[in-house]
Amino acid sequence: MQETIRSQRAWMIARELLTEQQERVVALPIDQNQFISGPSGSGKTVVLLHRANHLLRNFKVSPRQLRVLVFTNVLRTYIQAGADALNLPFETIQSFYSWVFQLADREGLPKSQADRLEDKCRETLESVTRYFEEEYMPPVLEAVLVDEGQDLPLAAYRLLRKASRHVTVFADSIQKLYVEGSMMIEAGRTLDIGDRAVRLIGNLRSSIAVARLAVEFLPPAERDDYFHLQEWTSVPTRTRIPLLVRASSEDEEWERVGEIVKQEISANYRVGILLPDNRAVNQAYTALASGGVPVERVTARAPSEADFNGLTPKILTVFSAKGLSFDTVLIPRITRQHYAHAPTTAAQMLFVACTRALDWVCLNTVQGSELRELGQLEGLVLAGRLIEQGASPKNINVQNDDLLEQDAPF
Amino acid sequence: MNALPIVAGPRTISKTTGARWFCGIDLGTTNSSVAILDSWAFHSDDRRLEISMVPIRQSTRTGVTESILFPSVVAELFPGEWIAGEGAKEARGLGSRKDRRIFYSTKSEMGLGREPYYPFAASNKFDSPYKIAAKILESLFGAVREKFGEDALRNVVVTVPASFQVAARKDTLRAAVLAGTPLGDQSLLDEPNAAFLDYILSTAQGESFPLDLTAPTVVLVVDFGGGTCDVSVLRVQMEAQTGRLRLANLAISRYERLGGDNIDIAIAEQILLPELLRQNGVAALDLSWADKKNYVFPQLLPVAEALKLAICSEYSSWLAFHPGQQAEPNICATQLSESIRVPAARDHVRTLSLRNPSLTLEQFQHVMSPFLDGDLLYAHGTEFNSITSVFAPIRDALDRAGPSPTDIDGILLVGGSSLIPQIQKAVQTQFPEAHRLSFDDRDRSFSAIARGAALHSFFLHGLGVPLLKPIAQETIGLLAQDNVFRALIRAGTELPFPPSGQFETHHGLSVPRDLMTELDIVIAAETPSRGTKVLAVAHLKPENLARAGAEIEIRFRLDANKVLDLQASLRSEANGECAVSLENPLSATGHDSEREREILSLEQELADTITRRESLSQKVRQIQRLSELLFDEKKYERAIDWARKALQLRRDPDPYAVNLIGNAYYELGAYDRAEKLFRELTAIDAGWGGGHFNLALSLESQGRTGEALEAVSEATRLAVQEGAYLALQARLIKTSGRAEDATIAFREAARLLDLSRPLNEFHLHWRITVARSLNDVKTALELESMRTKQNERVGLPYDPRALPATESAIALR
Repeated sequence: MQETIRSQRAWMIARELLTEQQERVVALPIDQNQFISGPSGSGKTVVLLHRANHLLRNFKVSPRQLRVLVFTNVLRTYIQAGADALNLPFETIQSFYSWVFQLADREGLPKSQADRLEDKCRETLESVTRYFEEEYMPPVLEAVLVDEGQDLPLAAYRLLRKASRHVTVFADSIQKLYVEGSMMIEAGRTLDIGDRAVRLIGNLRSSIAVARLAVEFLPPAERDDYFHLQEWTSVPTRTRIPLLVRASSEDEEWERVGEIVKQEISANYRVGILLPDNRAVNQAYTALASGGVPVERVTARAPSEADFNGLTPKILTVFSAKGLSFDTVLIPRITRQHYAHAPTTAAQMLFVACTRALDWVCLNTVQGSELRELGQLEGLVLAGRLIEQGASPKNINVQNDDLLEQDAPF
Repeated sequence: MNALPIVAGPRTISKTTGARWFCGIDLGTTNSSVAILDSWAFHSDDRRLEISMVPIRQSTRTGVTESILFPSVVAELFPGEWIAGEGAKEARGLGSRKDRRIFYSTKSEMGLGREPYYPFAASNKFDSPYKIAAKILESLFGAVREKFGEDALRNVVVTVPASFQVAARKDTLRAAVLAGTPLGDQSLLDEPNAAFLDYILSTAQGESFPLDLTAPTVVLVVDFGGGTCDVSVLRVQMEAQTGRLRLANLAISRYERLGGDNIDIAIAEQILLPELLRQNGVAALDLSWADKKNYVFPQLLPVAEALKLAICSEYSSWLAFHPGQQAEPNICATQLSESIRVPAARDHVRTLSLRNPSLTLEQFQHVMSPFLDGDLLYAHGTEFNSITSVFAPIRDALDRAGPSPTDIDGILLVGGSSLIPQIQKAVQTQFPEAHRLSFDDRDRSFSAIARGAALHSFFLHGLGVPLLKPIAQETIGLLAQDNVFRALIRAGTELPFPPSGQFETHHGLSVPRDLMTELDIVIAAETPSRGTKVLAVAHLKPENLARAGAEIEIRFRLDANKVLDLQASLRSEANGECAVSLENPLSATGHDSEREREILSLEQELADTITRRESLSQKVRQIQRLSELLFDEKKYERAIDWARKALQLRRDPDPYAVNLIGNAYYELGAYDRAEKLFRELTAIDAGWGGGHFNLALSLESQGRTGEALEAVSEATRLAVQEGAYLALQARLIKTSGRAEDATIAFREAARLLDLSRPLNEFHLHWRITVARSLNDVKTALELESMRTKQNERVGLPYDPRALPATESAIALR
């Protein structure tokens, strides 16, 4: 029997809790386009929403003249859940291509005949961009804020430059997952920003233990860069060491994942269960739901059914999870077979998956079919920065002090 | 606005011990933590106070957690194998088992001088609260040792509730010895003071500090943690020239076992348990008190805590997004379904399922309201919980200190439970004038006490200049003839007094008149606001006749732990000596009422002997006494459990126990169950009218007037002079529609319940009933004013000796 947990647990943070640096970004002027870069966990999405709200209320931009554009539908739903807390109108948040299609419709441009969605998107974007550039169209929006800007193609920036009076882009170059993603410097030039980017540093919310695991999946040259962008200002109240569970069979793996998910819910953690593709998402959903574990499937097709202010764990693909964050991330099925057809490298996907976690990551695999990349983690295990367990963990470390027993002389 | 200098400590420091690390430990009821101060940073040019919290590695079922919070939980999972911290806390949800013991919140038991009462006897390793504290300290010391080396444990300060009595402080020191790191002399620090030290030396730096410390400033520190609510009133002033802070305790509250744990229990008891019973179609009384206490609640508490935390975090975040908004949001927290395991007959386990446990903000507000009540400051506990307003200890401390709420300049809230938004709101409402002093970082509420302890350790051990010295809060002295107060130690005197630790001698008291008998030496405390209050009386008995004017020599001292030793002696030929030792005379408190103490000691004694065969009759007598005490405390379910045990032991019908169970069911509103018991009672002892009377009561409450009349007629037949029986009979006659007959019966009952004789609580109740029925409002009101709610009693306890009643009223006991 499956159940859902509708406990409200908004991920959004109130403005007074922002850091000084984040607050400065919220209030950046709109007389020129802005480019904000920051690593995962620097609070880009939170800052973006506060900035959108700030523009609406302080610069009196009308909601119809403002758009928050995101790359995936899942991210749109996720951001809408956060926008809820600020009373931002839902319709200001839109996925990038749905906005492009809307523009094409409005201007009566010929429809793309391409079969594949990717081609349709590219062709429509190109034709809308050309139309704006060649017809000297006036801007249709006052302000646009873009999240996960590293994933947009260069043409998107050409369009944004023409279609909106002001553009604020939030991006993280290390997270680039999509082949089409533009070079950020090019994008900056297009928006007349050049390399004058504001950098959000400071890793305020996510755990250093998670970051240490995540960088293992980056090419060695990028590891230092990643750490330089981070700054852990204070000792966190609690750091959980990431866990790697090696089960002896798939059934055992799901059993253990279910057990851990339940435990995380009882500690009020928001849980994301991330998988390489949709087939694996469906399998995971079936396996967990039939084991009585409350889970919610988040798909690109029907993302609006997902309740991102609820505590029910979300199952989704790594791609859909871009821009999202969870307290706990479980990554099941890290096997050779499951990552064989990944659209980007397995390491890149695992990096993105790990960095979705603010607090704790649990990697899961089956003995004998481990993904090769897991071999890279041996050093972490030796250093005590990753715990390895079998599916049925030995009972927790108990102490036996019969030999040490010595009562105090009173 | 007044900015504090970076370090409000002494500017010229010559003396150092050479040690680098100074350690502060917050040994909390729910969570413990450790802070380390690095003195090298202070001795560098910029005089930084660098304190860090020590992450403590803790095993859990999902590997390892490093946290600055270490749950104060110890579990003995198998005999001889134990675990502390997060892993032990996880085990709490598994519930107790014969071979698994989980100890939490045991700090409340420290120093009580009795073994804690656990459902299953613990191995000798864990049979005392201080031994459990030692296990926690052992883990904390281990974390420090691993990271900073053994040296870091040379200068340790451990915090205790300000209201801890000497015995509890001594137990804390014993725990440290047992954990392998004995503490020095002044190494215990009061928790609210520690929190304030951290606040003033770290957070309160800079422009936004709202208080002007150049003048004496009064600050109220409320430490509302997991298990205790500790309040301290401090006077703070900064010496202009030296920049040195002077902190003095004006008062501390009496010990209050009130904390977040109590809120969790309230949620479990008021929301989750009824839901569990409803979902499983189980009547409340189908589960015994012991089942609930030992099995159901331990499994419900983690759920309750999770729901509470979810509601609080969501509500805090809502408040941050909607400042100033009056309407409350709809917030509902839910948790996973749980299977609650309860033992059933013959080693079987019964599983009750709790589906989708949830808590709404509205329910939570309701649960919280008695904790926040500004008027009803007494404890109104239930069978499983003690509920007291957080303002009870606050008022108590203020009363002791003298200032009125408007004299408070600032309020500092610390402790995990102080993060509950409702608590913050309520305190703000009660003290609208005072500045809310708060840490800029939420997490600081959890770490401030350990940090303050590390600071204290550094100033005390490292610099030899403690920032805070214990002082006498009230003037202590003697009451001489005609109530003249003679001061011995003035309020504000630094302790120990005298500083040498030796005794101070006071002359100038003499014997008032020739006497052979005892002379009372009255020790008293004096405060400007509240006059004198007697603390203790010592009896000085002369060996020979003491002449008027003979000198009485008084020797006394008050040590840093606030123990007053006083000796009085007659020097002349009369010869005589007496001595008295008072623990913490200025916060003198009772943990529990006399009755509660007797309950605990009886339970303790019975827990030890219940399984032994000998002295059956003594045990039964003890159980009778215990169940009667519990009944009087309104702990009906627990009384039922014990009375049942008496029945089991005796293996024959015990009318006393049967009647008590019946009465308890009656009080709990389970009239059908009460009826069953009273029918049994009338079968066992048909000659006691009380059985029939009680039966009639239980029938009346079920609306079965005819049967009730039959039963009460039997009672009045057996005891014709008993006015209470007749009163009930009259009431039933009235219910059956015969108003005139009823009036006649009520008049007769009024005559029997003769007001010229003193009435006990039982008869008083019935006399009031009669007066009301006869519309004799004046008598009713007069009698009601005599009656205290606590003593009201409707049903009759079993006492056949007093019946049949003739002239005198029924003696209750």
